[in-house]
Amino acid sequence: MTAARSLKRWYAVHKWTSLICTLFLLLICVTGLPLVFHEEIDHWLEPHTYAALPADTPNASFDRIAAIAHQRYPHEVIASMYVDDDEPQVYVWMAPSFAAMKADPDVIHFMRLDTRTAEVLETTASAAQRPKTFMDVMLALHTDLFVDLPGELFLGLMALLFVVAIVSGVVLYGPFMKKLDFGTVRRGRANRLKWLDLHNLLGIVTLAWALVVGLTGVMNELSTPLFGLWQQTDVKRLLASYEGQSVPSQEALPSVQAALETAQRAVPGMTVNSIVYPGNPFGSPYHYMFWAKGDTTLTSRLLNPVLVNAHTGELSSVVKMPWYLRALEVSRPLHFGDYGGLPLKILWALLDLITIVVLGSGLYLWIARRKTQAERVAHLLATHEAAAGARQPA
Amino acid sequence: MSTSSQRRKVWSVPTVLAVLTLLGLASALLGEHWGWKAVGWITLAVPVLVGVWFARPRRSRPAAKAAVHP
Repeated sequence: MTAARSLKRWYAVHKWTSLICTLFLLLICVTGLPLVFHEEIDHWLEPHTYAALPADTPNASFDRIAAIAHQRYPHEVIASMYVDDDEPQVYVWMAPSFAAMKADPDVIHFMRLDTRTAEVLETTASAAQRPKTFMDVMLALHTDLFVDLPGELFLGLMALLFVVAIVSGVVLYGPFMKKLDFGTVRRGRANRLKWLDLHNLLGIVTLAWALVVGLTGVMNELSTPLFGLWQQTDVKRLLASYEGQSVPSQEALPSVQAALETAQRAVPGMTVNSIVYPGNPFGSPYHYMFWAKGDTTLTSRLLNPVLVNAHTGELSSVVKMPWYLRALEVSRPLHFGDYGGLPLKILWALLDLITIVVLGSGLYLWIARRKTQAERVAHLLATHEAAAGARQPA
Repeated sequence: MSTSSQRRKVWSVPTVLAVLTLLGLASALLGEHWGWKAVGWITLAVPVLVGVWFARPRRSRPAAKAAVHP
């Protein structure tokens, strides 16, 4: 293939992948801006206040927290608990039943309690009944367009096209810049030329960041199928030996506090921060599933499940996570930009804004080019007709 | 195709910026000390500043002095 023909093909790849994904990518970039700062925005919209207690106040027993939850909602089951690391709060997620939760995960709702005093700070209606907040809408537009898995897969595909558009854009950058110094922006001539240069400049400076955020975005959109795969393979194999055992009712469960301490002893150096109750569709029918995390920036994103037998309260196993879920866990911070304090978030937002300019200018260039081409064709036709008219005898 | 010096001219700055970006992302993720986070902030700020600097609005130069269209 000649260089010119190969270039033409790369141009076609860049044009078509960009055209298909640009509008969705613009939506993703715009909604991504508030999402980068979701912690700050949440704290600002709904400030949490806590009783002032000495720093060494011990935490309440989880048995007491579970009892309070059952007392408040006597006809419901506890689905899971989550202990916050930043604030002294624990979330208790509840459902009418596990069967109802399996049919529709949105039936769950939570209670928020003070980790130390077990005082109930907040109770909510189910996600299905609760009005959507501004941030809920941003998140849905960013991740699934309000239609769960199909939306996730669709936006994942758009992110993949974005990655192909970046790669083909890099291939085109070379020949475009052959005779130009880095950073040249030709002003004072055609507007299209100025925006072409800005598109090339801003696209190339954000290249590595956009590739990382694009690829980790694809990965994040695959989280549902990846977790499904894990449950269908490793988890199924792990639970096969328990097949046929009865699933204990919540009243018959061994102490959750004792089970948590058993799990914690099995993973020294890690912190257990969530509890998935036996029977929860996202856990095991026969075990408490505890999730433990490490204590560094990276290892705090790598979660390890620990299973404790729901009949005996004894340790069953510390589960080794498969490579694809580890890859997913590493992609999260690299997509969210939430691992280097506020300065990193601000940089994330700036890079996101520059990407919006790259997307917008790309769209403008395509429209302007079509217009020029249409004008050129019209001009050609006009001269052709004029020539034909001149040849005709009067 | 392009000679190696031409290639170097086109790709040297983009390569440096890409390497700095990846170093910044990794150092903030893997480094525990705040110094490593700061390395991440600084290296990630470089591509942003370079982009903003060259893209900053300027008075248009006369057409004759502008570079040649490739």
